Amino acid sequence: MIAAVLVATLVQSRFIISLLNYSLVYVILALGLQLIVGVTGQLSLGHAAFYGIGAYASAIATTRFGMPWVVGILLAMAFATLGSLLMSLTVRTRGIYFAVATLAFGIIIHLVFVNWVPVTRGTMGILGLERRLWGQWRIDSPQGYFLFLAFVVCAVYVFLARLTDSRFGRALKAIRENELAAQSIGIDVTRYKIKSILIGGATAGLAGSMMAHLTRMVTPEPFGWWKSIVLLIMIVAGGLGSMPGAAVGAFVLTLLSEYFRGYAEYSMLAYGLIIVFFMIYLPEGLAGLWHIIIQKVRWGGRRAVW
Amino acid sequence: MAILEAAGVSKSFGGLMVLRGVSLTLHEGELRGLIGPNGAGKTTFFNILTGVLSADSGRINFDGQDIGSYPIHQRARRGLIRTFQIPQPFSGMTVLESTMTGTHMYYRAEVWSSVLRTRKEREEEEEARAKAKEILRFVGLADRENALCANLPVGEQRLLELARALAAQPRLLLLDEPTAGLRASEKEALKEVLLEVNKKTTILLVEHDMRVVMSLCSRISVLSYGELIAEGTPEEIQRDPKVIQAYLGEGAIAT
Repeated sequence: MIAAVLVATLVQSRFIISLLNYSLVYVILALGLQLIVGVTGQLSLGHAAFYGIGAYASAIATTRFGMPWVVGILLAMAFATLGSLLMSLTVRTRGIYFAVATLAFGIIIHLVFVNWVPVTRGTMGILGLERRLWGQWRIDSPQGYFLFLAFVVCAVYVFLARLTDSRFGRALKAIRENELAAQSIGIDVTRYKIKSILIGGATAGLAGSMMAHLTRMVTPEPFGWWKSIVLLIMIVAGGLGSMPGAAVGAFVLTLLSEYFRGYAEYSMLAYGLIIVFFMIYLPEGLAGLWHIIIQKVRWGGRRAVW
Repeated sequence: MAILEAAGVSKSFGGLMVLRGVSLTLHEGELRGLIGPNGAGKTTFFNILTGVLSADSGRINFDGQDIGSYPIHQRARRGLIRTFQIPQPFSGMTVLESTMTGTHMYYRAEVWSSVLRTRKEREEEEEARAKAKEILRFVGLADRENALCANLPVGEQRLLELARALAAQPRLLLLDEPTAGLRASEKEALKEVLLEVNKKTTILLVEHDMRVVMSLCSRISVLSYGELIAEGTPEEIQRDPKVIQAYLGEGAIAT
């Protein structure tokens, strides 16, 4: 947070600040997905759907109904949670079937964004979003937005990191490691899976609202199924199951992809290569790399004593 | 008092009758052995008792309640806890974390109390950690607390299973071949542990090692081809012609 304040005051370049803003939105998305995929072990390919639901809910609430953004954020999270409740109906399916069901869910929601024109305005999109937080209080400068976003990211991070490191988190990890064994010590597997999906979905909705008001417009394009895949790549690169890994993975990959925006048509190729690289050389992602470095340093320290 | 009453439990997979009307009554405080040749249906019986499989017919009463239709976790919540023949570790967790997970149903902290780290939540975590450590000391894994479950050798995997099950504070502990793959010295150590556990907990033990069963159990039930063919003290079982026949085959008595 302190770092964020420093960055906001020091960095004047609008380009860099907006780059950072984009990255932070993706950090929120990746953290939520990490809870579902990395911690609970449920391979969800529909995360972008909740992201989109949040963006549209917030956009419609603030433009059409003139509500303040705070209400937009709350509605975004509420609707995204409802959406995930719908998706969690598929939670009794396992492994590949769950993955396919969530993929289909994501595709359907995306089609709704495109085709439900009276509400979403289809491919024309909803334009001219305001950043009127509450009453006359607005966040118009990129720096201000960055600070606000940094605060939200910190809150989400603390929320999910603490959640993962608790009785609740242990139950989720137990489900990831071995469902049968988890049930055998009295863990209600279905209930915990649903809770994990709802919490992950709510954070995606929050990210949706953040992105909508960052770009001041909402179109269906960023919420397709491929975005879910990109998010998945981010958490794999960061390290499955690790919250810091998800944050770093999303941050770095978004910075890179925005920086190389001119070569956008090659981005999927690059993501593919990244996945292959991490699978082969760093299966535990950046979080794993961090552990390796720490061990090396400790080793080095011990050798120095000799 | 009977803690478990299984009556007429039958199960078939396709055309294969794996259990034929098995009835078994366990009394509180017992350490019962369940033996039988390979394929007799012991593990299937365990799976039906714990809810992994459902019986085709028959009734299962646990603590005076018909639990036949309950899902696995609700049976566990009533105190019916098992270990697995093939260890089912939480591989990515540490030994301590895995054992703490075993205490899951005794605490209440959910989403908000975990995130806000309420005083109640911190007390619960402290207590869970202390309990888990005590259990690890008891089964002899105290020095492995921070090891990753996946990295334990077979013998310690079995102790880990037992530790997790004990952390769930069973009223009836079902052990599926806990000594399989253990060295003789490890078996002796495990026997001591089980006798100690039995002071507070009823145990149903499936076991292939006859020396372990005979020395531990006060009563033994014998399954063969899905039927309960004998029940009695170790001495009675050893003399029972039907048991000898089941293990050694037709004509074994004559020779």
